[in-house]
Amino acid sequence: MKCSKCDKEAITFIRYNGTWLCREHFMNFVEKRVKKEVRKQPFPRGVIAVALSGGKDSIVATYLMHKITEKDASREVHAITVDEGIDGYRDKTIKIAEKFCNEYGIPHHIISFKEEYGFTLDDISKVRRELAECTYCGVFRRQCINKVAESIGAKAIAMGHNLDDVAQTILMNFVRSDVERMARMAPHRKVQPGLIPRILPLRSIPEKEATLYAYLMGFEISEDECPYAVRAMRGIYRDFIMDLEKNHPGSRHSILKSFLELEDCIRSKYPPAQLKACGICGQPTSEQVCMACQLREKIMERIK
Amino acid sequence: MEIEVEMKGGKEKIRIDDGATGEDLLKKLGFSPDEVLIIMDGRPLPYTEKLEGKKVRIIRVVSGG
Repeated sequence: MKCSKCDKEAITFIRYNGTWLCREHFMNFVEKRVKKEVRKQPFPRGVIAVALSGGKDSIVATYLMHKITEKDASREVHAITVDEGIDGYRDKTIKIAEKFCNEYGIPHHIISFKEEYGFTLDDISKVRRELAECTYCGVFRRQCINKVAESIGAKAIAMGHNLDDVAQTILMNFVRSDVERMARMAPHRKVQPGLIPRILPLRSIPEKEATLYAYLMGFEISEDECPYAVRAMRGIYRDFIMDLEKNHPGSRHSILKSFLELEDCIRSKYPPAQLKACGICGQPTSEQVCMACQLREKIMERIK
Repeated sequence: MEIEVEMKGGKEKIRIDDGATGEDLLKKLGFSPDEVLIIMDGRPLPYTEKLEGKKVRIIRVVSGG
């Protein structure tokens, strides 16, 4: 099959819009939408940190943010990698992240749970009890990224979430009736003291397209999945949305579009909470002690 | 005809009908078209296309983070 836009051989078929695309037109198609997202979302001058796990989405996000800002003297891209301490999984992607940053000359900052909190995610897993690893990991990881971003004076943090991730999160929050959490989803337009706003440049790129882009760029794609992902609720929503998309192409876009239609109402109903410094670590929180410190206490007691 | 399919964790020979498309192979393997990339002899192939070649690599599109 020929590309719908030129005479070259197509390398992919985009189901939701019925076009076949060659390598060049596909890459263009991805880049155009990412640029559009970046324009639509807050994009402050200064340091833009990208949360780089070394997985294909965050590699693509880092690469495209680097490419978009390359000729822009007012912005500089840095990468932040969190080493949660997941034996046999994270070590591999950290190497990929390091190699990538080296190649493109992107300043790279690595922060580890072990150094920050005194234990790894593998340690947590042994004493986690009722909470899944992802609950701890999500809280600690967010805090680590915010801490490093703050220390390098970043004005925004770009995350690698793709369209599938975002559609899953929206649906998950709907099903759990957690509208308030939906109001706190990135991209954040209001800057909260101490909390660096997050942006999602790949928000409208389906996961498959992010992977194909990474493949075409020659980026290393690790097909490993986090060993703790089996306990994540997200899997149920991933399968459900995959099925929905299969029978009704365009569903993921519609889920995002519906959220965007409701966004202003939701955000005005649930304005951001007044944040103060955590009594223990000083990171921003709406409570006396932040969630990371609460969870940390729990783990420390059990590990002792 | 027979085709060599490489997936994470190994290779196997799979019998497919002459003129089978990528989609036919995905059905056989139990994947949805949005879940995987099909790489035919080193080149990405639209799942709608016929599998004309010797070696297919299936890359799963799983989210890490």
